[in-house]
Amino acid sequence: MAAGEGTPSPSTYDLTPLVAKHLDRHLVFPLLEFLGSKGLYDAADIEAAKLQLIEKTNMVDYAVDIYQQLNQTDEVPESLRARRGEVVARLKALESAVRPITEFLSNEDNIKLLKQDKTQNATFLQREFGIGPEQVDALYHFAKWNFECGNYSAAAEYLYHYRTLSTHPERTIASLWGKVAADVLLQDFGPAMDDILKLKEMLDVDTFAPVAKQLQQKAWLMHWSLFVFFNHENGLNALIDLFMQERYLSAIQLTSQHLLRYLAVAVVVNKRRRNVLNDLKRVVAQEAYEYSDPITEFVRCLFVDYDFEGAQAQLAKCEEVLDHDFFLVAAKDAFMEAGRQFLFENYCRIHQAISIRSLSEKLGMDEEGTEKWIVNLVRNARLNAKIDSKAGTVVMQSQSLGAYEQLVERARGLGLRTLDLSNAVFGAMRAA
Amino acid sequence: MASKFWAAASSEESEEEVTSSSEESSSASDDGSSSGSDSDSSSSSSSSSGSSQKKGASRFLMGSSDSESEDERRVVRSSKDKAHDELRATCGDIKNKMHINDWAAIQTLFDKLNKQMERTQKLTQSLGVPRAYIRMMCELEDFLNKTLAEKPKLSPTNTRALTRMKQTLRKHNAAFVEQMQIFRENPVYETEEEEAPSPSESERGDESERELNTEEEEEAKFKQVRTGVVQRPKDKILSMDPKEITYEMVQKKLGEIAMARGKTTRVDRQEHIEMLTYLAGVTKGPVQKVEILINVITVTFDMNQPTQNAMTVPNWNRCAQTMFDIMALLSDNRQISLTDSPPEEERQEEPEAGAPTLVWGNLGAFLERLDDEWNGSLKTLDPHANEYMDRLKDEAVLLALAQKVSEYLEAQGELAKLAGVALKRIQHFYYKTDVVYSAMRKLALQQAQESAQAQEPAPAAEAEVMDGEEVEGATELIVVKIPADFTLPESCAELVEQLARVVYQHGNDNQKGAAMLCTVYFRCIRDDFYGGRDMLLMSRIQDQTSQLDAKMQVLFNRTIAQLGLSAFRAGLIYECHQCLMDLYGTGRVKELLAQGIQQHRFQEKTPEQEAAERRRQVPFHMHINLELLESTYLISAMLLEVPAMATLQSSDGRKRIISKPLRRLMDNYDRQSFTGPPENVRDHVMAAVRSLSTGDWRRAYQYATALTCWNLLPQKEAVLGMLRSKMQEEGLRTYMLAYGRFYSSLSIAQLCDMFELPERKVHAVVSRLIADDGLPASHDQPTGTVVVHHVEPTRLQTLAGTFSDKASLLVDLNERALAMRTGALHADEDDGDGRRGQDGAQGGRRTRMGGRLGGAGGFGRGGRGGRGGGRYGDRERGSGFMPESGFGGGVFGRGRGRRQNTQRDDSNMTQLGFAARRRA
Repeated sequence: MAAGEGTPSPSTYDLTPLVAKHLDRHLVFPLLEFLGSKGLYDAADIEAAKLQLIEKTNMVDYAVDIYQQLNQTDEVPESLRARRGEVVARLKALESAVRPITEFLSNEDNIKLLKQDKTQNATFLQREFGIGPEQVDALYHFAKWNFECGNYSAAAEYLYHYRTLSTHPERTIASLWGKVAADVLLQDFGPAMDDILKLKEMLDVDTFAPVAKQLQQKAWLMHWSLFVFFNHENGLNALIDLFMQERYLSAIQLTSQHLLRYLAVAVVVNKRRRNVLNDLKRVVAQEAYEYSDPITEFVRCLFVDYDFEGAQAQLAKCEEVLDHDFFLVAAKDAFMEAGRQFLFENYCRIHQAISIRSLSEKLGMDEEGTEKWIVNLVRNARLNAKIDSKAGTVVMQSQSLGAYEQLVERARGLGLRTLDLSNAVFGAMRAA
Repeated sequence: MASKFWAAASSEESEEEVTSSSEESSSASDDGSSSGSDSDSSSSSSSSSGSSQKKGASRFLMGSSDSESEDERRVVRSSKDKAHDELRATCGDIKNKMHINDWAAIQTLFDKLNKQMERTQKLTQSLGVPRAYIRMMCELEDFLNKTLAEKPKLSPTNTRALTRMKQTLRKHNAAFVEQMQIFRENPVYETEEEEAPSPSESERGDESERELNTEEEEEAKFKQVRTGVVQRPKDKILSMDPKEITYEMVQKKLGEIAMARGKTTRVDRQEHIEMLTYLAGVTKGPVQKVEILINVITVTFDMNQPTQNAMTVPNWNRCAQTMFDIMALLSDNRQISLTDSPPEEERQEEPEAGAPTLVWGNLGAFLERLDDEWNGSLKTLDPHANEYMDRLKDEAVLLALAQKVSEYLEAQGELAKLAGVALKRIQHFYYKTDVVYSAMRKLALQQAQESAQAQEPAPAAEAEVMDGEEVEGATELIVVKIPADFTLPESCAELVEQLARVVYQHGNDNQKGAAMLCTVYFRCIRDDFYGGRDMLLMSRIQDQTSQLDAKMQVLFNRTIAQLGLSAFRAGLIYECHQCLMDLYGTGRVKELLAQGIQQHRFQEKTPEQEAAERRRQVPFHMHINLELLESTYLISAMLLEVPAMATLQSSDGRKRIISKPLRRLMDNYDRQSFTGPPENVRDHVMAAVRSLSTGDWRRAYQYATALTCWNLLPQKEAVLGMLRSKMQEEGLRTYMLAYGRFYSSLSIAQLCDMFELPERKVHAVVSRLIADDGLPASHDQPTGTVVVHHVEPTRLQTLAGTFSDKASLLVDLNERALAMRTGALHADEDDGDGRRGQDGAQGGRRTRMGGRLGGAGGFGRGGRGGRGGGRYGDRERGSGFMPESGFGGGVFGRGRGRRQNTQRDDSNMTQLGFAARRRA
């Protein structure tokens, strides 16, 4: 059991390298920043990683900063300087190419002229403003270049317009990806959420792509969406909806089992979605040989093996893991609370009487606090129990139904069904 | 002439008559009708086939077999003589059949004989009967009586034929009683008569050698003559000074031999080989030598039919050695490359050294054939004898050869063939555990070293072999040496992976599938269950098993069996059971694994089917131990079934049978009035089941460990430890489910004691029972006990429950009836099935929940769902029971259905498959 492993270093459960594989370069930056702030790794290593990342992008100025910081110098390497020149030149060239469109778009009234039908728009633009497919294409490249340069807001805007103009299906999807990334980097999670859903729809429709590609795209989508879901107010629900879909679940199982951590957290924290717990149990148990960390182990111990002590130990470990996870750090408290509650509930469900002392040990609270906590639970009608303060125990009320209730339960549906039947019969007769 | 014809009427003289007339007939009119010659040749060929089955054929055969064969020069004879000859040929056939007790054939031949007899009588316009005919009748009668007296074992068809023959012969012979009587009185006279024609025939044989036909007796008889004949040209080239032999001469000879392919006899081939080996020694250049060596191989391959019997060891060795020679030549002369298509025109002279040349030949195919022959010969050998071991050692030769060939093919860039060879090589490795592999590697390297040491005197030895061949006629053993540069890597896994990659890159679909299965098998025997399973599921080959050929199906079954075994070793009882249940569900394990032929009571196989099955068999050294497999299956079934049975007892829900074979065994066991101590695997498992179902895990464990087959496992201790803990756990579950309701409370400490489990484990097991399996109990933590809440319902309550069940059933039926009318039901159900098919996991789970609900809370909608699921499962299973689907098909069909379910539950790959299917 994992409890006997000794204390693993916090980086054992760090998912950044795994997650980064499925992210855009620009999206990895926040992760690295976060890691830098946590001091999990050597600062120099992180700076080096950043530099490596940035070399391929066009954020030359930023690269220069990092370079200087890393090497403790003020000089600018020749390669970067040359690169800067290239980037700026290209940006200028593209800008001039898209000028007609940007001018067209800068006018609010013009945009109102556009219709729903894209082909119609294309001919309209061609006729009225001399904007042909080349210009539209250039818009795409311009947006891409802006994005590469770190100019996300411009990129987001241009991509938005590009999507309204473009008729190229693949480019449309690509532009949507770009839009999502830009929104995420701008911390603009509302539109990002909408775009994620749009993107999902488009991917679901695109079933003719090779299976491997579909799988990859799904994995990407899920990874990218983590940014959104953990920052959006209704994100956890959306996350469960997305991840629990048959296809996405299988994509998780196939390519990126580590996403189970996020799914598990979302399910545990989200109290309203108890019904998906069974799915989670199954998947976690299935993938235990491929991936496990304290969070999935907690789920497994608690719901599959009913090993409360193990679950307890895992829950303690979870705290640290959550603390070091970029996405989950915000959900830490909620998870700990919900996990504790799950533990307690399940424990109570199969017990008739529990001594408060042992319970307080399990929950890591003092006796009085435990008693209060239980009283609260009872009061909120989440628990059918009574406290025997003389013996210092919690006594559960029997949940099993009496014979009479069973009978009522059995016969409950009959009346309604019969009514349905008779209605149907009459309906059929009337129709005939 | 006329008088002679009339003389034929007297039966005594008929023999003389025939011979004299046949002599004359060569000069007589050529009215030998084509139809007559046709039937003639057919009869002679049938007689030859008869004689090849039985060597010591009667000497009378000679009389019959001198008829013309397909050769060009026909001897022209009168139709009457022909008729006589035919008659005699048939007589010979009958005698042949008598030797092998083939009464069915005798019967047909007898009818044929009578027809011919009539025709002869018409032709000769006489009513007389030839003496040969009478003699035949006599012999037939004697033989019949003898057979009836001895009553040898005969096949049903033969027995039937015998009885019919008895009746017809008695009726028939009544007409000839007198003549037969006369014949029996002086058979001596007859033999004298018989002797007479043979010299004249052999004379004729002398004057026209071409008339020699394929009779082996004839060959033996005329060996003198024919060797003289064939050797004439050979002598010429043999006696010549090797320096004088020109390229064209060799080429011409080679052409002759190549042309003769397909219409020669065994003896001819033997001679051809000798000739070719000689030619190989005197060739003018490497190209020609390669050509000749390739011909040596093809001619040797022609010497046996792979479907009937395996190649002899000397021949095999010769082929292997020749292949090595070719490989050496090819590696020395890089300009020569082999093609599949025969050359357009004849080469007139050896091409210049260094010029690129094409030679006809397919090394990959040769290697494949050699491999097949090796496997075939292993199948015919007794696996417990030393010969088998000796033959097994030749595997190193084969592997060395395969390595050479693949090096060559890689250099030549013939990637498709390379894939084939790589697959063949994988098939030599995939079933080997590390121990076996290292042993083989040691042996092979040792052999290679020996041959390296013997390198210096090698040329001399080889020359000697050549000489020896010529002198003795190629019956000596050629010892094949493994080339010194043969290596096998230390790690088998790497090798297999490397080879598999080659196949994946260049092979066709079938080869890829086979390589994949082999790799999975390979992983399984190295305890990598998850890796193997994921790979298998990823390939989705289990969806297409019915389209695979039988060989692949066998491989698939073997892989599944190993998957099960490895799951068991890893302690994954559920997975193990899932894998093996398809194999054992049919009771045809042997057949499915191709490890022996099972007799079936109800269906008789045609000889073709049987032969095909025999060909499919896996050589003994590759067998999966059936005893181990059976123990593994039954024990895993037991561990799942026993607690399930206990659950059934406590709540009388619907019956869910996990393992049918185990249930069947249990029923049998229950029916016995006396049970002795366990003897075989099944007895042991049955005894263990009995003990475990009362929660007595210790005894169950004892029974299970008493099985000897565990000794086959290298990690026996670990497996038994796993088994022990599983038995403890399942014993506890069974005990709680079966006897829990008789207690008002159970102390956890006592349970720990009983099942020797730590408290935490007991707590966890009991908790799971309470939460998942609906055990009506709960823990009482302060006292450390489990309190059982079971309340026996009163009579009234039970009745009320039954009543409500009935009521809900009534509503159910009403709904159904209405739906049938309106047609809504079908759509609804199809929809449900479709959904279950697509996201089966969900459907399955819902079903399970429904079942639980049904058990606990009655037959609400949940219960209905549960039943629906059950029915669906039945239907699916039912569709698989197709008796006409032949080998494997039915099983696979069934397996497929079930396995799909399994995957939904335990695999992570199938969803991908479903997604694809949905798209499709």
